[in-house]
Amino acid sequence: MTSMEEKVVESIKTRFPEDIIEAKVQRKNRVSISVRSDKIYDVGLFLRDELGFNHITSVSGVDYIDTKEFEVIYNVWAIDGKVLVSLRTKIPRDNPTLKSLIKVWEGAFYHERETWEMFGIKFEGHPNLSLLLLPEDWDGPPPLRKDFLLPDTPQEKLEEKIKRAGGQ
Amino acid sequence: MLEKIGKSLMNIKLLRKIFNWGRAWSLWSVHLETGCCGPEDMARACARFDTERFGTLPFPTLRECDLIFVTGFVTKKMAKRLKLAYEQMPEPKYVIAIGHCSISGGLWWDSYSVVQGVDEILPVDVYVPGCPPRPEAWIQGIRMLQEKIAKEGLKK
Repeated sequence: MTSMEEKVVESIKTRFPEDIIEAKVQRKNRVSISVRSDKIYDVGLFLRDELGFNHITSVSGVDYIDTKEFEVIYNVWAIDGKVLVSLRTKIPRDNPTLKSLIKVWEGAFYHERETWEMFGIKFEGHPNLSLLLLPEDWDGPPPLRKDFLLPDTPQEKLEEKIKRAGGQ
Repeated sequence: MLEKIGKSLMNIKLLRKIFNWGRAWSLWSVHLETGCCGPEDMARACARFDTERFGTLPFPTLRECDLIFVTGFVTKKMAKRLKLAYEQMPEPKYVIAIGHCSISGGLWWDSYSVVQGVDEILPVDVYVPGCPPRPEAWIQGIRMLQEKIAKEGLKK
């Protein structure tokens, strides 16, 4: 008897043989799927309609500054099948745009908005890409990128503080 | 007219003492938690440590409070709200900074989003270090503030 995890991997490999870079069972209840960035919308639709992945739990980004790529990870849970799929895709760092998956999973709204403000990844088709967690008057670069630098280093700030307090 | 009478009454030493005594022993605190020292706020206010023995009662209405505990880290977004809350309180008002994060940024000393010490935005009267400070330390902080009020007296 094949488990739900193997069934997911097999069916996605037979449906999208060209576009899946890697699909594997990580452990019990965990499946990882890497997909080409232009096909993520179709794979998302397939996961939702055919395999019953109906609950989006998180969207996150990873900054691979050495290979000049961003990775966007959609974690989707199947409530009936009890499997979590990590749907991964890589996009170039100098032009980070990706088709929004709001039409597939409505719940991706806030997660994509947060990924946009923290990594600067533009989600095409997202209706409201505005600041969510950062202060309203934030004008710096996205703070979770690896090349983000603080406006003043903590050491300088500390020295200034000590000087202000009248210490050495 | 009333103001003048009040001011001249405050010149009497004994009356001033009574005033300060009353003020020091009824420091109602704002129920506003900015960071993770918040749960400790419940501990010090509830039955076991019970800071109401010292007159410090967490109260939901800002306009009747005298004291604000800055519990834990203050993000730059929260800093504006904290300032707004502080400005709505009537004079005289006091600030106690609780925990390492509100004193100097603590664990978030190199963060893009945390205020490095709440004394950058509010005038702090007493600092209570700890991560988080034990309720006994809170009580000590309240007692220190009471001593400060008794010593310094009315703000003119």
